[in-house]
Amino acid sequence: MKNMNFRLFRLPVTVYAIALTLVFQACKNDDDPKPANEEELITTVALVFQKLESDEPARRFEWKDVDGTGAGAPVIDEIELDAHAAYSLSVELKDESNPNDVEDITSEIEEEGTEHQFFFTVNPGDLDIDITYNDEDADGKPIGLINHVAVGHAHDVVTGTLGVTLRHKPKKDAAGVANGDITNAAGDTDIEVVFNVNLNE
Amino acid sequence: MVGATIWINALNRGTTSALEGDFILNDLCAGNHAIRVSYLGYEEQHLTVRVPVSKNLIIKLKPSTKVLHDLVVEGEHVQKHGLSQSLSIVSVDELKARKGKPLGEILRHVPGVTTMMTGPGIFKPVIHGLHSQRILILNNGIRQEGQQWGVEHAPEIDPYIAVEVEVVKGAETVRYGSDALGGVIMVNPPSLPHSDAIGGEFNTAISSNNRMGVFSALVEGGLGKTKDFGWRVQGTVKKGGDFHTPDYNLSNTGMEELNFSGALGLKRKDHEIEVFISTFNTAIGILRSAHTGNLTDLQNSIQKKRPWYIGDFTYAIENPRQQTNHHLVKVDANKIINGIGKLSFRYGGQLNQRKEYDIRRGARNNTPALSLDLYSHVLDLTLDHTHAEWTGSVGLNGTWKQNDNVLSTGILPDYQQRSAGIFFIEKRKLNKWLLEAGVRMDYQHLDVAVFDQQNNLLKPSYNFYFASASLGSSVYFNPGSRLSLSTSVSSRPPHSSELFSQGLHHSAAAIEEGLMISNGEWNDDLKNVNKEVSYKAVSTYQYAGDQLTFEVTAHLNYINNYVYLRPYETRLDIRGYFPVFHYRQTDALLAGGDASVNWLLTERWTYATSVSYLYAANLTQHDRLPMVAPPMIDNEITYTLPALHNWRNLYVKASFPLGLKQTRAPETIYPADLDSHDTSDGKLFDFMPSPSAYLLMDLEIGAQFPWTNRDLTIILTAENLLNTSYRNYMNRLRYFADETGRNFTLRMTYTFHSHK
Repeated sequence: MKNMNFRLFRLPVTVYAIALTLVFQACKNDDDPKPANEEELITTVALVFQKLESDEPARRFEWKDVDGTGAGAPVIDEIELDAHAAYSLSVELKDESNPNDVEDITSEIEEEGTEHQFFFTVNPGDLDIDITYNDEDADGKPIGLINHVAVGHAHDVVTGTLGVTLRHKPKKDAAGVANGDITNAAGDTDIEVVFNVNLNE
Repeated sequence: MVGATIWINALNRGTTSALEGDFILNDLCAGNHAIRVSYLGYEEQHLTVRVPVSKNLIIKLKPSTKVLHDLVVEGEHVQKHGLSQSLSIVSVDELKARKGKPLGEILRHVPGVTTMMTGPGIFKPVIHGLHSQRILILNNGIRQEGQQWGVEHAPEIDPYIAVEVEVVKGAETVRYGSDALGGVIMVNPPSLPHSDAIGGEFNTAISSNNRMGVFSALVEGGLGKTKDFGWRVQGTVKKGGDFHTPDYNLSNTGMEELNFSGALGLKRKDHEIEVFISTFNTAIGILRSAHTGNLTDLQNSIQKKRPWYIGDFTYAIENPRQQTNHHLVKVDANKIINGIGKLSFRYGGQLNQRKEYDIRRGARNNTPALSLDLYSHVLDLTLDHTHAEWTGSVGLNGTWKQNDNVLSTGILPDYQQRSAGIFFIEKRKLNKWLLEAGVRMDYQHLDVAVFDQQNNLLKPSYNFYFASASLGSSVYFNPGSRLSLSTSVSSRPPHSSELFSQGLHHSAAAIEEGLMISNGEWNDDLKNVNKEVSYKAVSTYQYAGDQLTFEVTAHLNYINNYVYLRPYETRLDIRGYFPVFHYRQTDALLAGGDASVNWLLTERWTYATSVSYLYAANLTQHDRLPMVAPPMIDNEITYTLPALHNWRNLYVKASFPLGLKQTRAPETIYPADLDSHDTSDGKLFDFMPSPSAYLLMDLEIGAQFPWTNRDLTIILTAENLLNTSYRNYMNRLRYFADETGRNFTLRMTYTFHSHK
């Protein structure tokens, strides 16, 4: 019966608290409230593509919505990739709602790797981009912060979209999930963004 | 009790009782006399009195079930509500069979009352389509301020405290102010005892579905030489785990509750003083799979028709969860002033705390996502007077409220509200007629502190002046037949949450924005915001005969500038698309009817039925309204068994609640189709069609028998006996899971001395 312990057995305290708060209520000063520090907010998803076996500088594409649920529209970069190339793809997350205090969320996801997983969806299916996980959480399951990207031909289809989804507490053991199939992943969604992609021959 | 008849049959003489219920019969011969005591609305009592009488003879009458409830109420509750009001009462016996359930669930058996649910544990009462800030819940005379925190916030009331619950279905804004616009729910504890004996009762209930156990105790007695003082202490402890549907466990729907109350009263011939304190503390788990990150999650839930997370049964309450504390201090005093009437004073101070814990990353799980503290102090001064056929009240009300959004997160701003009201009510009896009229004026000053989108602090202040008026009449064709009509005009300034709401609701996957926000910009000018004005008429006909009792109610409520949530646009966020709802105003019509019948077929068989129907329309937009209860029909048959040895009140009851489909639900737009749907026309939509009709079967068996010379009542109920899978349109989590399956509950009440 270890779950039966009551969080609420603080009765004597609360009864005195009533009397005290009601008395001291009148003396409460009228301090202005402090703005909320929205600790959960993610404003920016950055995809950093580093071409393998090349000196070319890394390509960085961002999906950024600094006002959270506010009315401001997001700013979304278009992804440009070369055909017949391999990239390492790392995902970076940030909270840039306060420009003076940019917070890095990536490390948080990494620390709680067992509770998070990224999923990548390429659309249409014949856009020749193949993304495979290249990292592991404490249980040896993928997280998706570091990945390997193989880009094939750009003959038939040169434009499409890349969807990036981050699930919190997914079922990492469910069928197909470790290979990046989101169908059985469940959990709840922290991020679901879509980038436009262009392939350059 | 004034005017009861005390009659000695053998001598054919008697008297009626005077003001305090006392009576004198002089010049009787010594010896035994058979006397009969009667009063309209109460069961006649026969007793034998030995003369000379050695000590005070106290005769208590039991309310009769055969006469209209309202007639009973008339004598007792003149101050609480208008006499021409449409009224329903949940009696002691009805409460007994539902003890251990939340208040909202108990009330859903009242015709005209429905409940809005947030999962299996959170019930919000709805009267004729209105709820939250539009209905008033009075716990022992004090309003539940936590109500305004919204639909997922159940009233913090321990039903074990109550001897009866009254529901007034007409507007009582004149007496209570704008929050009684849709009606009033009154939870009334019994009056304090003034006698030697220590009395009270123990209650316990165990339920199978969520493996819940409840224990509640009430002890009361009198103090002092002359028993001027009465006291009562009462407490309840409750613990339940996950509920389950016929097919799966509803993970994270456990709850726990710990309540305490104490009262001390002094009663003298011309004055009374009573002090009451109470504390209510609860933690409730919210269905794990109802926490949606975005519309894709919601679409998946709707498509799969099953929660995505189903774990094993547990008592543990994890995030998402809510924790609520409600503390109250009340002082009541009244004095009879000769030649004028009764002067009553009431102070109520309360602290409501609510913390919502969300599913968060990292160590933040024990930091609430939302933390609200609401303090309020209320002062009421009322003068009641009676002069011949006229009775009436004059009252003053002062309220001070402060809402602190501790973390400045979430959707409710900080505000301070001061208000004052004055009312006059006058009634007149005219043969079979009873007429009443009332008027009230209010002033409210509101200071708000809220952050806009750019985190700038806005501190607007507002003054509102508003008024209410009511007119009612009742006609008694005979003691068992009454027709009443009450009409009212009530106005209500928008609540600060309706003005300044801003944020994402996880269980609804929707962004809500207040009246002061348009096109993403905030303004603090009220020029586009109007007072909500309700014109309500309720008429009830009641009949109570020997075999047949029935009542029919018709109601009509036209609300000008009705504040509601209206879809506005679809907004792209880092979690995908979200619908944005704006609080906006429209003209709304709510109309409907309720009927209930109780028919004593034979000495042993009783048949009861109730029907309710509500029509709601948005008149300006030519649209429907969301979350309007579908028609409900309940049929019930009871068989009363003859007494067996010393077992009494044996009965078996089967009831068949039928919930029809809401055919006037808003149009369906599945979450996956939302980004291509044009929401700018403001037409309402719902993410899923309204659920199909369902028919359930409930069974109840009860008996009473003496145990250690005291009364023990045992009631066994089975809800959803056939384990039917269904969904309820009035459950806000209907997108995620079915309703609960079969549930057996065993209730025991041990009364060790009843003062009633």
